[in-house]
Amino acid sequence: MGESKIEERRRERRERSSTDASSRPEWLKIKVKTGPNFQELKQLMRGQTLHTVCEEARCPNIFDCWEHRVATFMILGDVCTRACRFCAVKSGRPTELDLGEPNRVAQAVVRMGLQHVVITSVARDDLADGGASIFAATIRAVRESLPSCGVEVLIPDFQGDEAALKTVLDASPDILNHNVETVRRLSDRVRSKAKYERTLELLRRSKDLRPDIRTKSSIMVGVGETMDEILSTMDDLRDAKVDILTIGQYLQPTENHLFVEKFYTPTEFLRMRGEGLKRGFAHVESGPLVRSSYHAHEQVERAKSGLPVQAVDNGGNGENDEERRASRG
Amino acid sequence: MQDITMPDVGESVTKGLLTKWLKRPGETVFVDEPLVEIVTDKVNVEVPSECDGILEEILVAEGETVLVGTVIARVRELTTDAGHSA
Repeated sequence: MGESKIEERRRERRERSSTDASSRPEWLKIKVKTGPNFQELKQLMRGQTLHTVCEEARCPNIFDCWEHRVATFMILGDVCTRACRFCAVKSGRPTELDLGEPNRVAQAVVRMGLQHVVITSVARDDLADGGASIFAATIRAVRESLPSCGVEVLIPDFQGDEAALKTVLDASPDILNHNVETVRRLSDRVRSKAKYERTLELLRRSKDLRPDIRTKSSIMVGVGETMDEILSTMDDLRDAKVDILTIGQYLQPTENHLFVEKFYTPTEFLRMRGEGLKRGFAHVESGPLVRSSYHAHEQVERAKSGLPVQAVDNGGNGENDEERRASRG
Repeated sequence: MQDITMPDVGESVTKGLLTKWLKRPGETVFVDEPLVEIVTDKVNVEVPSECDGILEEILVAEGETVLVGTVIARVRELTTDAGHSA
């Protein structure tokens, strides 16, 4: 009994640290692609004092997305009032509320000539409306500046405040995205302050208030859940009438974050996609490097294109997509 | 001569661990061919050559941590008309 619990934990942390290359499967290798679009976008972001979740969250798809001129803006600052155990965004007490931000985002969207923009934020539990009015102003500013651009918002839970949700919905985004992140059992451990039930309620409420706006949610797998629990979460999301589901591998941003308990194989992601489609989601994006806003513009197109994607027995016809994505880089 | 640098991935990533050289000095490399593997937060990154040429020099050994922007290798470009040496 020489080793205390804390020391044991520390040792385990070192041994399982994310910088251990040998523990990472082959399909999580990416190739650097700093092409001209990537460089230009990077300059643009720096010049505008705008934040992207691509950078803040250390997203592995950054080369791919930025080279395709797809980016996810993070509004309301870069300091989050919550400290979820999977997330690399700084947490603390934010001070700024930048009323010029909606217009700056809109200007950047125009300059980048985006087809689809994703707008997300840190949680701002310090603000009365959780930042909902700034979300709404940003949606409207983008609409005004570039009407052809699809607008997706990935919102926090606004602590269950229905009025705040309504403020966002009244600005008519094309997609309202709110992530469940993980299965019911692990929710309290993985997320900070957020509640599994509250997430489902927000999604359900959104559909009730504005049935014409597509809803979307994401599950991050690899934090210790079982396949049965993933399937139950899919059921819960479908009960809340969610249209679009994304599933991706959790990756540890630093060694101080939650461990990766399991790396799912591309085949397992394929199976999850099939299970999702079987349950009636209009679109399911599932793969190791899939993120909430990954291929977002394609998701809207497919979800919009009339009929939902047909459910297939094993998600079979997604195979090529999946393989391509899995072997990317 | 083309410098191969540790790429800037995003503003919150400042360094990576160089784990493996995939090419040896003197070897021919092609544009886009992976030269080296670097472990950053979340994923392993392969850094490719930006030109056709010869890997002239390796400046950072395996197992070292590299800051973004550090020159890690040099590639001597091969041109069709004047393949002149250093």
